[in-house]
Amino acid sequence: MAQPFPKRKLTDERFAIILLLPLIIALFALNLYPMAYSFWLSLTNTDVSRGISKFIGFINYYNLVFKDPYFWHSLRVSLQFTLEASLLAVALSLTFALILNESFKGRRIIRTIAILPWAFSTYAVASLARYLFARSYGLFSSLYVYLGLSDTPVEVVTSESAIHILALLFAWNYVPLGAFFLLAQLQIIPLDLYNQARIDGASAIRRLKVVTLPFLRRPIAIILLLFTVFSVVETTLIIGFTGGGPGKATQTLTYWAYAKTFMDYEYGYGAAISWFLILIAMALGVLYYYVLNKLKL
Amino acid sequence: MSSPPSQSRRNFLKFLGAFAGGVAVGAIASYFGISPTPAPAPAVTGPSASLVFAIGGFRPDVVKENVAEFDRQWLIPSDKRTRVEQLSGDLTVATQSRLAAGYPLDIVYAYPYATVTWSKAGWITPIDDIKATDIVPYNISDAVKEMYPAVKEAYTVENKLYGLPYYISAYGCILTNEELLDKAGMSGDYPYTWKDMYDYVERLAAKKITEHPLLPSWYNEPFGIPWAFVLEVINQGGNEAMWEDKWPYHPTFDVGTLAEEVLKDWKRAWDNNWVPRGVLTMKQTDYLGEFATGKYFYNVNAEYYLGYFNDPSRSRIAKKASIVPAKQQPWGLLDSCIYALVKRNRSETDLEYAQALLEFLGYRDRYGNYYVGKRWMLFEFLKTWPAIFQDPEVRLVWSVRLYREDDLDAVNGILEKVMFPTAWKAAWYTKWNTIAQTELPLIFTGEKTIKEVITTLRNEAERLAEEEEKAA
Repeated sequence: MAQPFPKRKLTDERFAIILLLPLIIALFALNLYPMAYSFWLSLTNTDVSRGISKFIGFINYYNLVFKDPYFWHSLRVSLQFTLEASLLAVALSLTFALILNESFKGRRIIRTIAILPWAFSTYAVASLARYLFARSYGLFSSLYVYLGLSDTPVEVVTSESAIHILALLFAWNYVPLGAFFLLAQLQIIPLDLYNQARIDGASAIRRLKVVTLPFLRRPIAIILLLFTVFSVVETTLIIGFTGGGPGKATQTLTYWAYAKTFMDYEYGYGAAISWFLILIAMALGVLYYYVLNKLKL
Repeated sequence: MSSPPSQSRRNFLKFLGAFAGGVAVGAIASYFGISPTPAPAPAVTGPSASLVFAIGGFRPDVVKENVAEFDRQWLIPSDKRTRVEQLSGDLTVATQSRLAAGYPLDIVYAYPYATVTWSKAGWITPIDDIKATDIVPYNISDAVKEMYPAVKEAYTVENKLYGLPYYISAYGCILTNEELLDKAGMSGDYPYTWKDMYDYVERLAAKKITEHPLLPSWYNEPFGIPWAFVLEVINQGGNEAMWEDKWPYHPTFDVGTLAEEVLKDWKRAWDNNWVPRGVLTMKQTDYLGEFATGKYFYNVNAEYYLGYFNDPSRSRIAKKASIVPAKQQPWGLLDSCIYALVKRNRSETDLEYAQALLEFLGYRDRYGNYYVGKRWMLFEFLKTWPAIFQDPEVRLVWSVRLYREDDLDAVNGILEKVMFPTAWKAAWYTKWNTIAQTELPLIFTGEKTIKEVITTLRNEAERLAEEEEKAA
């Protein structure tokens, strides 16, 4: 007698889907839904302080680009910070990875210490920096006096220097991540290749160029992309260290999004700035890939 | 004959059992709020459900003790004890989202602008009509007679009062470092107007005792440089020097007005190096730490921080930090918060208990004492009612901690005259404040002239006020 409901075979694919289902649901709930909601918010004039929320289409985006007096300045500062911070972080990551890949006494301890900055929360880095760079009691200001470079304590954080210091702090915080990522890759490069290069009389720089870098091309591209995205959206460091100042010297678009959202309660406008930032991150990512492929790094 | 050991052990165990039983009964009695000297019982014992008080992250321990005392005095049954709900994140936003969602709350903290919004939304209720009953101890009209004028002004919306003070502070007073002033031979010789202050700073700078004589509140916070500007203008010229006297508070300040004079004083201080450059990037904690180093003669700050600067564990100028009294003009602007009563469907009895809790927190307890206000004054130097300044215990505690006992009276005098920036009742103010925080430092960094900054600030205030008017 035929069975009324034919038994379905649990294929490997179906089994995999069942296993992945909780993850897919979590991904949707934690990523896709908030993203979709924030995009919806960006199309409204939601302002909690005024208790209004109405669909206005792309008006927020139009106002941002054509009417907001701080937009172009913030965009320039954002791009400057992103380029400085991400390139510096990659360069230092590569340097540290190469150093940590060498055999020397105490390498294990140095490797452990090297990862410590990554263990600091960004806010802790910002708080620490405020003390290090403070004029009256900060380390750097005191060093100036101690080394005889100045008779009185100096202002290290000025309108001109603030953005560079932020980039440096960002790099300090994230370099361990990049360095260990590259170090893992360095350790799979066959030693024979280096030996062959040495036999051929290649100098250290030449060995770096013809042996090491070809293996690191993809990992460098990945961490560059990662650091770019991280730096584009970096807010905590800026809020915690400079608060967008002095004046508007470090007022990035993320800081402006934060100010509009959490200080002015304009959630709709803040969401529009955030989506603009996502576009910038994507554009920079594409640009980096293009340039790296072009340079055949 | 000595008792056998077994008998002795039995007695010991009996004693132990009785002792443990006693402790347990005591603990249970204490847990259920049974006090050996019960407070006079109201006619009805307790609301139908627990009252809910929404708070932020500041000293929840003190708040919980205060609320426990309310439960004791009003004999609230253990299953209906008042619940303290601690909200995380921005307190106003968190409270507002709960009010909007109809979450059952009874008492909330409200700042001036939130009071306007929430009253208009019908989320909080006016308190003028609260009358004394068996449960509610006081007529609100009695409390209003004692209230500092600025508090009444700040929390009155359309002629209705919306709460009782949680704390009030005068932000923007001149705190002094008496040790340095003594060195300069100017102890007790104070400036009594903002104009005078800059002249005094010039004199002090000429003595070359410190690198920078003044630490102004131009730090990088929403309540830093923008408030510094507003308070100096309105202290000298009244609210009318900044904006009109009624909603939507169109700006009156412009190039050629007092606002420009204030910024010229600022620029003079900056150009002459009377203030540290780093103030523009300081956060509030850095700013407090900076004056606590003892390197400045004057600091523009909230009188609240007299407690901080006179604390030897935090400050190098402990017992040397004083304050300039308000003699010729007011100092500062009102920084405050109230307890507001949430509007919701309640029985008459439940409403009376909520009103009683409001009065207990924001005014007096069942016995006529400023129980909560006095505790805040003793623990955190938070001020609420003028009469607390005369409390012997308060005077004793703070006369030991402050530079001189008269400073308490100076603070009370400042609070009597402190000004409320009326535009804080408009929605646009916070947005303008953000712009001012960005624009004002530009006169120092050289990116804009004073005239350009004032023009921008005026245009933005005008635009925002017009938008608000249109939206209404």
